Amino acid sequence: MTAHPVLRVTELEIAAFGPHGSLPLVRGVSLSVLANRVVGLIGESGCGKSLTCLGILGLLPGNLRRTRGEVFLRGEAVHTLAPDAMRRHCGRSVAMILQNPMSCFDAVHTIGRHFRETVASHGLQTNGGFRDRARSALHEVGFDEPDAILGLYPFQMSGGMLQRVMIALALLLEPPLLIADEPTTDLDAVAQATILDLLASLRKRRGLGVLLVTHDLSVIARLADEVAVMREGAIIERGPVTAVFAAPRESYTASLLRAHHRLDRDYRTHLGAWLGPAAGTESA
Amino acid sequence: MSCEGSPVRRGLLVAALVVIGALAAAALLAPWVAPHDPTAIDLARKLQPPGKGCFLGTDHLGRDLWSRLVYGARVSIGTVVAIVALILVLSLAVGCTAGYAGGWVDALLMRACDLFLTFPTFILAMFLIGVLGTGLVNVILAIAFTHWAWYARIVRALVLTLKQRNYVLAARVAGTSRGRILIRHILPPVLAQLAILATLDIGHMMLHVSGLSFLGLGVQPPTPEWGVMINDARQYVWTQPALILYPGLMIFLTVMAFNIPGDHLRDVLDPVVRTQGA
Repeated sequence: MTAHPVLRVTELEIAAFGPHGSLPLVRGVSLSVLANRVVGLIGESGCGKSLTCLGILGLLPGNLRRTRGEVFLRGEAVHTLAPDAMRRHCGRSVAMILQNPMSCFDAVHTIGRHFRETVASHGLQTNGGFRDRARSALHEVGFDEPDAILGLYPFQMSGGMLQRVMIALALLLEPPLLIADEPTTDLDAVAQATILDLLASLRKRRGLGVLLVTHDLSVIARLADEVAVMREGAIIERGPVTAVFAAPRESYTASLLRAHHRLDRDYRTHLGAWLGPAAGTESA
Repeated sequence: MSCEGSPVRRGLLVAALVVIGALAAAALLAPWVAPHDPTAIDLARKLQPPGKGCFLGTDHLGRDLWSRLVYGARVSIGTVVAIVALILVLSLAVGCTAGYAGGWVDALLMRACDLFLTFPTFILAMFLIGVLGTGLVNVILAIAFTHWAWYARIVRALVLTLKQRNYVLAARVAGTSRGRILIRHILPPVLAQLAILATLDIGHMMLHVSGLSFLGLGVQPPTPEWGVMINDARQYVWTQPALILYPGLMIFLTVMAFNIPGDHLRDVLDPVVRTQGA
């Protein structure tokens, strides 16, 4: 175990700047992710989850800026770095997987060229050992024939396969921290389960710290150790997953959980008769 | 490849490509294809009907019409290639810089574009030639300078949409530099679109060149250029209609031939369409 958490964020504030002044979007978010831990960040759409992730990486869109706060990767302050210096951390100190894997690959290039680009972006050799690394990374995410995958174009693969490829790409340079922004949105239930199992096993095998962003409570329940609930740009409640889910302190968290349980119950009562007693158990 | 096309559509494409191929061959091999010097004046043989030695006849100065048409292809195609190359370089440089940098750089470059867009192109080209003087090189410069702004705007718009793509974000997340992203992920789709546009515009440029030459502002008379030939033949339109017909036909055929492959090109250059069709 390293002495420093792999990610520490203190009082991160992000605001949008327009012709009529600034609008705060993320208000004082503090987070800490230790190695071999999964921290879940939940909240409704638009509450600032994804912005927090982009803010950590310094990749905010043009009209948004970090107005306050510090970001440390493995104890190194990165919020003061110039974009080009920060770029070297992306992929190496921290990797990120995005939602909607279908759109995350350039249709003009094969998967192999995507791997090559990630390696070349960090000034590493793209011959010899490169192919072996790509192969073993693909093998690790469950592809039995990595060579065939490297020759495919992105649109020849399914969403679930592409998400696994994205995870393999993220792990290529062996970063200690993985930020997963809604990794299972837009995927069907089987693909979701595969991705979540994969993340769980990678975390165990590599001692990866994971910041898991989602609005799906069942994903958090399945994977995360700690959870932080975000609302309107601020974290309103945090704690171990079991404690927060069993006894939420905030009424907002309680209503999120209630809504989830109500949907789940409706699903069971309406579909239970059709699907038999096994229905609804796979998300528990 | 364009397998969804009807036989007619496919036949047109083949015909267009044959015409373009023939024109390109004529342009490249002009000294061997043309039996006579296109500028050799022989007043004793002026306005000859088609016959031995000159199978399309001769013009009012006794020059071989067929030879002049062949050399005309060289001038027309060479001019248009130069114009398109110049436009692509200019518009890619300006459009990519504006779209990718954004902010005041974008604003400044786009206002410069607007300045060019406010004038009718033909008038502006005539004005530029008035300043630069007539001649082949000046025609190329004038037409390129009056057309690049459209392309620059399109390049900028494409870059703006492409840089919002998730795969660009994914590349940045992986630590890829901005320059590499521009070259690897943004430029290829922009080039594919530009190739289509340029093919569709080649005919238009060619009309510009011939139009300016016809007005006496472009390529100058002894040079065999189709617009120049039409201008020369104006006074014989009733007695020797062939003199005006053939260069006109050449312009017509060339413009038509370059207009057809544009949308076929799109099918070929789009990787998604390509492999799904295979």
